[in-house]
Amino acid sequence: MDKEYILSVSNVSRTFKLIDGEFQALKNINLHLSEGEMLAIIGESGSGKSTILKQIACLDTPNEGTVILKGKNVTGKKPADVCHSMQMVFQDARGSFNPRMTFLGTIRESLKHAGIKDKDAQIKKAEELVEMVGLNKDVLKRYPANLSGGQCQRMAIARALAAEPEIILCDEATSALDVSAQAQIIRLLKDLNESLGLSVIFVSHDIALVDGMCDRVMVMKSGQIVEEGPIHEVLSDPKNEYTKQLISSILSIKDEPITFAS
Amino acid sequence: MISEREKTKRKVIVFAVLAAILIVISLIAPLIIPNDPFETNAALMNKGPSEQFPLGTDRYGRCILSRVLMGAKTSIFSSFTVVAVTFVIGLILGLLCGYYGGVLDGILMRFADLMLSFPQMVIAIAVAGIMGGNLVNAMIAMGITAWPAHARLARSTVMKVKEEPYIAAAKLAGCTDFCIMYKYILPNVFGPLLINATTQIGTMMIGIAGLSFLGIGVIPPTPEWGSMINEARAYLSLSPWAVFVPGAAIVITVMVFNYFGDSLRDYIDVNGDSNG
Ligand SMILES: Nc1ncnc2c1ncn2[C@@H]1O[C@H](COP(=O)(O)OP(=O)(O)OP(=O)(O)O)[C@@H](O)[C@H]1O
Ligand SMILES: [Mg+2]
Repeated sequence: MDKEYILSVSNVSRTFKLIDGEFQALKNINLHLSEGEMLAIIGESGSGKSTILKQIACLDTPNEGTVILKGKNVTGKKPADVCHSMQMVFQDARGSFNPRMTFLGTIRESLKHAGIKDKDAQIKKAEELVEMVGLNKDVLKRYPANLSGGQCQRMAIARALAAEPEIILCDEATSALDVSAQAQIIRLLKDLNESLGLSVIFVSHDIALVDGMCDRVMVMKSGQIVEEGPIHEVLSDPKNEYTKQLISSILSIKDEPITFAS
Repeated sequence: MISEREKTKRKVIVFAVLAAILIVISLIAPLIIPNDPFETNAALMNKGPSEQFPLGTDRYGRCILSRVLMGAKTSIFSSFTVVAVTFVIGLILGLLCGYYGGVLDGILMRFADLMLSFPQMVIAIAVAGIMGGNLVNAMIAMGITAWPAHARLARSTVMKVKEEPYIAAAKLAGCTDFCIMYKYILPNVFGPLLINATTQIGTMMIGIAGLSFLGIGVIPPTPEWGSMINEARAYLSLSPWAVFVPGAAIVITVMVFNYFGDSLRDYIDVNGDSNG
């Protein structure tokens, strides 16, 4: 091995059994993430973006292939085995919170497993975290039904940070936010990336959003990676027909060059 | 104009009050009975309503009103107990089976299906018949046939909740299986399952009264509605009140508890819709 990756996904395939046959959601996926890298995965709805993140976070087990986290094979392991190194911001942010638990309760749960056992320390840390993601600490007392979609997304990021992970998997983490709030969250992730060396996989269907934020991009279509490379290369000179379509569809909406976040 | 939701809410309140009244009556029965429910009187057999015996006497000259009031305690508390115990057992089994799946789930659920495929009363009669008739055995007999329905429903509800993203999130927060079942799944399935359990109280009452009617439940002279009907049925033409009064008590009580459970379920359903 010529380079040490923090995360390596090799030849991962995932086939779901359906009532009427099978459906292959991932076909032979290879993905490598270096420490401190921000990787974007883009692709249309149903291309397998969430599914690949689930394999990485051990929330699902691939039929074939391996997931190596910090040199250890974690394929088929439990989420609890990887949660100290890896956290996920779920696509359905509100749905990722127990409707019968306050946000404080949920975040304290994460803090407890991250090693903070003292209740007052947990509360203090939880307040710091929500303020860090731009929320008022009063919302900690609330239940998921009482927060807006965007607030839930920020809360989901706060929860992910509570575990002090080295890798964060963001599944459409800013889709419910308006443009300025999106920029704030991306700024936050970028700051964490620069100050703590946090590695990020940022899943989005919005190619413009990831420009300026991520170093590298992978384009997914029907469970396969059709193109990957440094983001500016892919954007300026797409090789794949599908990537070209994706990019031109954005350019036709916005008649200006793609400079968006940060 | 009152809304559909307001209407169901009023129904819940009305039946909750009625059910509460029945429960209170059964609790204070020993204090409000006009006569000793066990005292026989050869001179006053099969007598119609009178000042001393407002609802008449049975074939041993015992006060029917007193016996029906005392019988309320037996009926209501035996059915509450059986429903509560089978609900808890079904909930725990359903939680484990629904969460873990696998071999244990396969075996337990096939067994539950087997139990459910027999008519409930037939098994209960067989079990109570084998064990011999008394109230506890009748309750065990009904309990044996009642847990599978609770377990099945609990299992399917748990399996649905298990797929929610917040369960995946809890796993990734490092929670143990026990913590996930206790803090994340249980609070989200408990309400609907409990409401379903309340709809079972009426059926249970009929079941226990039925076993007593057949002579394999409560042993006379303990006052119980089913056995009172059984004792009095040979004298139906002579003293019809001895059959009708406990019969009416069963009908009213079962109706109140059934309507209470149903209206509560409707109310939650309506509410669920307006939230979703
Ligand atoms: N548990 C499952 N059983 C069967 N099929 C599944 C399952 N999970 C995902 N799929 C299928 O796999 C494919 C990829 O799903 P996935 O959720 O990864 O898409 P996605 O790229 O995240 O899409 P979106 O942008 O809409 O979130 C879809 O066609 C989906 O129907
Ligand atoms: Mg997705």
